[in-house]
Amino acid sequence: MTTETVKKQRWKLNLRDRFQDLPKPARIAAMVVFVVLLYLLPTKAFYENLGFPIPMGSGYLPFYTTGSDMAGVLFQCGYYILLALGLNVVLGYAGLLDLGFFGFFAVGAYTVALLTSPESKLITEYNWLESPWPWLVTVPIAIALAMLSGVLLGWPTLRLRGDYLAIVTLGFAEIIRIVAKNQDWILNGDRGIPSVGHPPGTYADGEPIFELEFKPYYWLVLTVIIGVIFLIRNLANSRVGRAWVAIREDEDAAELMGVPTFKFKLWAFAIGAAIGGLSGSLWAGQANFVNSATFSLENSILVLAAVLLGGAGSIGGAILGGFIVIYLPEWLRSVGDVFGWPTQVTVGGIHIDVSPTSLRFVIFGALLIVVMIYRPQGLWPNRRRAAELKDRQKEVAPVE
Amino acid sequence: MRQRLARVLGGVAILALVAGGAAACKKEEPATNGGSTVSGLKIGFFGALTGDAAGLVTPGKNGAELAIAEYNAANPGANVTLVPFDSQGSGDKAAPLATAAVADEKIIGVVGPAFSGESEVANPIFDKAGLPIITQSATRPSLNSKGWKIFHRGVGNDLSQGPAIGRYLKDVAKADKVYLVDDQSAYGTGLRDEVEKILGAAVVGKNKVTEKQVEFGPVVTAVKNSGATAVFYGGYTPEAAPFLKQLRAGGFKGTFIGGDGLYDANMLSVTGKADVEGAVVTCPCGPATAAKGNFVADFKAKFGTDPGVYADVAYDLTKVFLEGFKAGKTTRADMQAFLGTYNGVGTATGVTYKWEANGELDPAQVSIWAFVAKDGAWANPTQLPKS
Repeated sequence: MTTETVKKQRWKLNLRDRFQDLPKPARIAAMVVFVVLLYLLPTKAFYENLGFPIPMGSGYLPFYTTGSDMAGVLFQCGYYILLALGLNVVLGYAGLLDLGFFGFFAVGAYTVALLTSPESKLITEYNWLESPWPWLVTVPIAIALAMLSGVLLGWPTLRLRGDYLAIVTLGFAEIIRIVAKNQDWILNGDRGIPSVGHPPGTYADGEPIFELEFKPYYWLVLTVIIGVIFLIRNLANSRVGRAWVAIREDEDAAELMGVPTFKFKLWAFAIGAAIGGLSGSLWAGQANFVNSATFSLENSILVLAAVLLGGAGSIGGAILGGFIVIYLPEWLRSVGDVFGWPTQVTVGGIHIDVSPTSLRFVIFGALLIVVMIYRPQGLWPNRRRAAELKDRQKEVAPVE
Repeated sequence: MRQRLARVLGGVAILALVAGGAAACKKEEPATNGGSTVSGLKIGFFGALTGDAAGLVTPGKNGAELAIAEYNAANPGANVTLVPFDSQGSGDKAAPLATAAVADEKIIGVVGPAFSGESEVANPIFDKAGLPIITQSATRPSLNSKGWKIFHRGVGNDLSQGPAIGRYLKDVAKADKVYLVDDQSAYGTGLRDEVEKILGAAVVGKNKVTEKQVEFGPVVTAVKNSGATAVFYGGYTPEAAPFLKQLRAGGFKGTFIGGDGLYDANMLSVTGKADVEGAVVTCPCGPATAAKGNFVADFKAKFGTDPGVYADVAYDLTKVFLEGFKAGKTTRADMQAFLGTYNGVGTATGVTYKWEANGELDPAQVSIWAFVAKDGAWANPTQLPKS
């Protein structure tokens, strides 16, 4: 290790330690300022007010996604962050490789859609419900059903480990998607369920707050995320969290030391699923329309990528990862227009599309590879896991 | 300890000052921005420009681009621009994009959304803002009954295409044993239902495949065992192409027919020249490569390729908006009123565009075309009879 990297690391540690050393009021004040900033994020005026240098003079705001609605992108980031937080419990803490996490999202979304839409078949065809239920009532049901599906999936499959578990969970998500696609009976096949309900509340002039507008939804999801962070932090620091880490590190040793591993793994699965279902129910309300096209395998993989990119086992990492996987491609959308990059080049009579809008997933993929090569522990790793990975690296190749 | 607290609070105060100062600077901006409203108008194009379905939508975007380039050349100072919104054809990506389109007040009209699923998500947002849209390819029939005032469709819906396919099989292909396959999408199933209604007893079997399926052995066997002389496929190219390939490899020699979901170049290249030969696709659009006027030559000169599916339709629909600009309709409300009474012939498609109250194209103007694969190209376009 060169002295430079040592210095760099020491500086980084210092920054973290320094924050920890601050008196409690100061830490709280800093956190409050940060949270207020987060609430302000979707406001365009906020970026203009920050006075960033505007290099191109065309009203370019460096962090604003001009190609897509900023509040909408942030809302998308929000429900992906929730998903990443949920998967982080399963994968990061308990070490269970779950490739089908988006399935729980689907369960949450469909539950809310079925119960709150006046066009749901439960109401129009079977008359099981007299009228659509309020959105707020259906969210706990969605969470409960997602949790139940987590337990039902976990019960038989959690005896498996690693790759085998990954394959089984992958199958689970595909089953949910295909059932949603084919099932005409209540889910209405691929035609989907329109007019999903929204959270309650109206402005003074009688306009509903939550309808097709992204900002209120973003604020809602942000509030939910903050709540979930507290919940997960407390869980992780409790006996349950220590049990999870023990299982992740060495399941047999944990079992021998008296940790009921199966029970705790099932817990992790259920809690992760519940958070996934919560995310789905928030999304369904905003999207207003639910059909199977949304629950593709790519989304499950994207959530997994978010957790690994951010750093498994770390709440900050899950948030950062969930944010990046959505925000970055959306931000890349508008970059080309702003800088006036050419969208097409002609090489030997063949027109090649080179606009960042079309190439955004290529750029994103390349970034993922670079991060995984240079920071296998993730961008914001859990300290213990980072140390562990370093040990393993040492085993493979001695550090100079 | 106290010192540190002071430092933090001081830092926050400085941050607030900076933000406040910047806010003061910003207030001057609108004066410079608020210029003329007539020049610099925009037209949105909403659809999948990347991902699996991009092949079906990108030609349309190019068509719209061409229309605008021609308009700008003919009207100096008009400076209309096309704003593409790449939804990847998916509902969960569509909403923020639609909101962004609505937020840009210079966007007076939108061509698209290209698919029906994303229309369900995006159209309520357009409707709320009163931003008129004309879709070139979202053909789900139920879209006209949602109460969206801004909704216009530039082609016939699936209810016009399905019966035409049925009649083609009956009258042209003279198939008395038809096997129906669909991909269980709203589009594929809807089309299959309409085909089935026309064919009645001639249907010898039905089967379903799923999206992203690659292995069609059981379906191929079922088709062969049924003794069918024709196969209808309701769905899109990614599944239809390997299915047809395996069907031919399994020894099926009869007619293969599908809707506009199969009408693209990938169907020809993925399936292979020998296997696709004789396959039929239909489309509620005329052949873009045989469009009227200078469209084909202009398109080829600008983009270096032949116009693909819906390129001519999107070109003409964009021109409808441009005519509105020319007539001085520079607000969304004016444009919406303009579309309500519009009655004009598209220069590329030759279709007379006028819309019914629910946004559907006048039924008399809907035409369904059939194309046959020949020597690695969609050839021999014929307009199918209306009844």
